[in-house]
Amino acid sequence: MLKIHEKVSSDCVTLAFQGEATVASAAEALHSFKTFQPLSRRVVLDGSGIEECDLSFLQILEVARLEAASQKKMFSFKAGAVSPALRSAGLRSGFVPEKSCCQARNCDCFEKRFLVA
Amino acid sequence: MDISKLRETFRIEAADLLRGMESQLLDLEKNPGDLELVDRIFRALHTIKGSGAMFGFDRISQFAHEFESIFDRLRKGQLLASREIVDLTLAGRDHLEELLENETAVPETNTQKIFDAIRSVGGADSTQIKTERSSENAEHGASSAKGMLTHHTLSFRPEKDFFLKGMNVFPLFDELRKLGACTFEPELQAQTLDSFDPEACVTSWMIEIKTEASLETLRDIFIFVEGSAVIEIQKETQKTDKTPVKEIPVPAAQTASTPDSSGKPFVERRKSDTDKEAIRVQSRKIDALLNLAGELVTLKSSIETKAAEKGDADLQHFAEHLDRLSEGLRETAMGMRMIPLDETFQSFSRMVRDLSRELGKEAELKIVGGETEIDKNVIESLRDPLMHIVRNAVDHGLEATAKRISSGKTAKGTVTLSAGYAGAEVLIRVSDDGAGLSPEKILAKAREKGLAREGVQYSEKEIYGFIFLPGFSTAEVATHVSGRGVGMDVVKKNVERLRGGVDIDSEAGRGTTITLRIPLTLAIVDGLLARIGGDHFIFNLSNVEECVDLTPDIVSTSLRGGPFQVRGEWIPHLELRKIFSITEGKADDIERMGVVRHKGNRVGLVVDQVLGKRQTVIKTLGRLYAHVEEVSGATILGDGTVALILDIHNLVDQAIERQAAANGPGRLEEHRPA
Repeated sequence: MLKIHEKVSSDCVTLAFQGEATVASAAEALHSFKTFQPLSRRVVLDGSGIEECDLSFLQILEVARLEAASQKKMFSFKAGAVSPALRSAGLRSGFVPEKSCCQARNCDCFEKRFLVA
Repeated sequence: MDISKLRETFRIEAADLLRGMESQLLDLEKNPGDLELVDRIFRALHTIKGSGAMFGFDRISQFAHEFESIFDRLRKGQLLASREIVDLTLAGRDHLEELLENETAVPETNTQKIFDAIRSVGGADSTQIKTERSSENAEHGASSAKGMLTHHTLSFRPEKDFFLKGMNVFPLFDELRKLGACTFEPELQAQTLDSFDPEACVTSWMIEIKTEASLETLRDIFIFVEGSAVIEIQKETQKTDKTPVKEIPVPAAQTASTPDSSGKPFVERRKSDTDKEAIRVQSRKIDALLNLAGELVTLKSSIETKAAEKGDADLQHFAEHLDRLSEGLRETAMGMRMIPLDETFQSFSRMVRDLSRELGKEAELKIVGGETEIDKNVIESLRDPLMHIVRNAVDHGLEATAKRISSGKTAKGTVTLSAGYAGAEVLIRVSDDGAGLSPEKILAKAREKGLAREGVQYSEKEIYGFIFLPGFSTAEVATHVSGRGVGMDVVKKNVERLRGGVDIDSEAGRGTTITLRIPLTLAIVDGLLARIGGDHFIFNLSNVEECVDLTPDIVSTSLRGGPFQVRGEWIPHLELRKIFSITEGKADDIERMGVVRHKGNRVGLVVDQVLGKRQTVIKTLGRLYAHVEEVSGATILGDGTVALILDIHNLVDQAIERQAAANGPGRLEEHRPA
């Protein structure tokens, strides 16, 4: 099960994901992006609570990132808010190119890959 | 997405693969050098391994992983498919089947025992096998050169429903990474959040890999997703030599042995198209379709009746058109339920192999006419009777090897399973080239058991009939395989339940043939419609030998309800009006009698009127009527009337029992064979 907490402030939308970000909950994840991303010029994500992640969630993340980029929005993960499951999914899928730093705890390749500044 | 449905699909598909694997292994025993067979088995195991892991069948996946190592070594020519190897792999297959049925119920020790056997195959210990597996890329296939890194480019494009089939790219990519350094370039098909389908896989990848592994090894990684993705592999020995190449679609079966020794760039595209030609449909849905088609036939009859009543030509025209359509629909729905007998027949090959070995005989099963199709419900009910007959053929029919040789026969006995159409029936024959039946022995045994009367002359056919009586066996030693007299009576009952029949032919020294006559379908019956008072009944037309008008001169031959004499033959009869306690109306002046064959004897069933032949769509009566043994179903006539379909054999048996209970053995009983 995936729990999604949305927080909307004047300059930022924060979407925090908790639980299983898999195809079973992909529709909910997409819905939250579709609903909340248009509300602000800045989207901040918190994936620290993701316990399981598959390609379907990464695809949604990538589509949301591309759309944010095309609309010149800022799109980023909160510092340190990428769970090991999410990070691992990024690496295993090839969305995040694996580098020598990727085994280190402080590696931020994932955050950089999905960043639209 | 319902994961339990996907797990169930995995079970069904893995069971299919295992069934196929059994006959492939038996073929491999006959053709130990057939590498294409080895490859097919390896692929099946690889699929079970991969899909099993995806759906959480960890033990199955692990076992398949160990198990496939044998086929890997067979592929590499490190092992030969000897009889021992086939024995072991059959045992491994059986174990996988057990795990598939209920993973948790199978003790770990059983798995370990087979693991140990697998690891000791060909003198290799577990370390050797593990070492081989870990360096699989270096050794796999002749096309990979040891120590030489080859650059491959893979294009991997999953289909949109990839996730919905429960598939996952992560384990595939993990496997690739084990083979060498990879770079992945995912590409998302242009999407916006609004148009995006969250459950569709819209990513494709270009993957570069430098590895010592052969093309075959790379290909194996994608085996179990090849029906759900397009995979193209381009191989170059040196990256700088990369030249554009034309994509060549290569069927999977051909690519397995496609050589690439020319050094030319090699492009392989794999995509299984066979999946697109067939879809899996739950049988209950087909049954429902057939049921609806049956309703349409009933509706058509109603319209025809109304049209005839009103003399409405237009309505009659529509009814005729509807008749053609409903007939076509019913034929199509019926066709969907028809499946070839081959798979059922093939499943006995293993039994014959194991049984003959156990009995110290040499035997083979020949299959003829496996493409003959029959209703799926009939096939399911046929499996057990056929198993009994085939077992008996091997156990009792075929002589011991020494005896065969001394009789001038080949050492290896043959049991032939054949099938073919005969009108609306399928004839299934189980023949053996054994010693044949001994009518003298059978009769002596039947007399000893009180099944046959002393001093009565029996025809050969009647004598063979004793074999089907409960408790009959002439086997001198009852084995656990057969010979306890349990089986052939059950066989006959089961076949008769299918509205079929069993015949035996035998020739001393030449063998025995048991023929099962089975209707093509259980859904429709050619019936004879009869009326008693206001009630309608259907007799299965195949049971009815003739209809007789009970004219006064015939009726006068019967004393106190005893048999009628018809053309000099005494025929016992049942008055259905009495049996079904029908009080409505009065019997016509001249009643009719349908004469049916029951256990070799002719029995008359007396009704008011015989209305003629009807093709009848059978409907079950439901649980409430399950205990009414005289009736096997019902049908709705054109005017909406319900007609009961009689189970002739049960009807007569019940009458005999009732009569025996009331008066002791009666006239009907007297006409039984013994």
